[in-house]
Amino acid sequence: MSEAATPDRFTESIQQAFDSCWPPAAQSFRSASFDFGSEEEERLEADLRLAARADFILPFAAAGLIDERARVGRLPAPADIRREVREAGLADRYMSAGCRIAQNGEVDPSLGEELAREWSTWLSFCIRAHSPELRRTLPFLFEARDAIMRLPSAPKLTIERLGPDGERLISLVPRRAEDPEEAARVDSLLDQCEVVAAHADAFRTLGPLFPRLIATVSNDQPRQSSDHESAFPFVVELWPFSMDSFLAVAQICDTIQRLAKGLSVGEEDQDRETRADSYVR
Amino acid sequence: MDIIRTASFKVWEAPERAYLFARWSYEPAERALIFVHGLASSWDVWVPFRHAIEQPEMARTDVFWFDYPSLGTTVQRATLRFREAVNGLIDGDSSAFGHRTFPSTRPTPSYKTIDIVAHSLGAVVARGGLAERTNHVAGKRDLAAPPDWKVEQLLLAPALLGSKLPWLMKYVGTESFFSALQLVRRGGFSAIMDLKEGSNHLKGLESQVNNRLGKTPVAANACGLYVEHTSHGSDDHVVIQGNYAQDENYELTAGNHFTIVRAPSQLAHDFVLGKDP
Repeated sequence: MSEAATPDRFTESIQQAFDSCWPPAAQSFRSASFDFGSEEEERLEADLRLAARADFILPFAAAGLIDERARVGRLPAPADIRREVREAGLADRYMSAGCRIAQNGEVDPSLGEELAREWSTWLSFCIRAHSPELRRTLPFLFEARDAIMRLPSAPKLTIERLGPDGERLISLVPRRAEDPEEAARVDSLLDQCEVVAAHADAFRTLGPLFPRLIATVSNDQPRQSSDHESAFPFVVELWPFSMDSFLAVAQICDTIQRLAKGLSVGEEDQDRETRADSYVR
Repeated sequence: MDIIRTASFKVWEAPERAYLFARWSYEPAERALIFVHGLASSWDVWVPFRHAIEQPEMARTDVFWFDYPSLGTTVQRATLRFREAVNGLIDGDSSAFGHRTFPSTRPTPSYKTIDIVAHSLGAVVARGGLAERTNHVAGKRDLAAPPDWKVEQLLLAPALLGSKLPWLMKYVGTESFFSALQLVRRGGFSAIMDLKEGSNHLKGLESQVNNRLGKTPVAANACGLYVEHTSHGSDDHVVIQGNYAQDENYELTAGNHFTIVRAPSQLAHDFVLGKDP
């Protein structure tokens, strides 16, 4: 039986952070985001919610910053989350740091110092990693990956417009499908890629901030993937969802990098560069 | 743990994915500190200040991060959103104050000091927003006396004279997934265009600032249009990528491809802490 939560600023912050991802009033987000059958929807939702609880809470518990047997605000006690994660076999299916902690048990003794110092950064990461915006991409991730991977070889459209100084600007962008429905579908999938890319960018600073945590949850499996190099290091260690989704994200990021290379300008433009003087008032 | 402020939450949002993130102080706050990132950056560029804002002397400061898709919008639109965000904070009517994470034990803040730390394009966005606020409070005639609030700015490597487009394109192409995809999809329709050295936008902004400083000096000074604290050099200044990192305000982690900054200069550190350098 879990003990009552001790209301303090730390547990309040964890609770608020979790609520920003899983609002207490929201019973489900699936009707707006998933096309699965209800049973699969419910299982996925339960998995995602449990993985989020594990990530928000178990690193702090493992580090000794919160009581293993006390509820965290309205959230279950760490010990109960560990048990649920194990019973659901979540660590076998999810790369989440919290799930791995639930599975492994042992942690680096200096983890407490690291997480005490970086508690707000970890919560910021969790808020983004478990945000409704990101998790809603999961059902579409593979379709989105396929859509973006077609872009490098897609016909290009030349766009001309006037720049801020009235000069003519020309750029090449992938041509949209002529069928409006298909164009809208691809647009929607590329929107999903933007969401994934935005989160990947937002997480890029984490590696140096959480060396102990990363060592604790280190997982060689994703590193053996040929795609992992194209993803940021944080993704390998801290991506909270399945291995398959990690690989899809890596492929999306890799494709964006290849697309971006086409944006480089030529030598002629570089020759026109002039250096600005210092701005001094 | 001695916790003086909440975790970071998105407390305000506008169209075009412009956001204000906040870490509220648990104590009543009289000062707002606002970070504004630059091109192809995000909130994470301010990670080096994360410990400074936990210091006890920051207990009466609310900390905000203005986030905007620098490559998915124009300077004008980012400026508009920044102005909306800052006006709400200064005027006390921001919807952010109604966010569920705002400490219930606190009254709605009435900030006396609004300190802005802006980097690169962020300096252009902030300066534009403050120039427009000056117009808002003193459009027809100058204020008779300084208002009860004051804006100060720390501009880190401001792009007020522009930046080099080809260089930026290379930067975008290698570092930022989100920004690069936005650029690919929209054909370069972004704030980059206004950052070209000597662009009409930048010249117009400085002209507007000088006009306000000359004609409505009380309001312009209250809005921080004079630059009291700038930190810059004569070369490129970017703080998040090792290859181009020459900003003397920052020390970089060695050999890290996706470098983070870790040591703000004393000047920047003092400014963040509200000390008068």
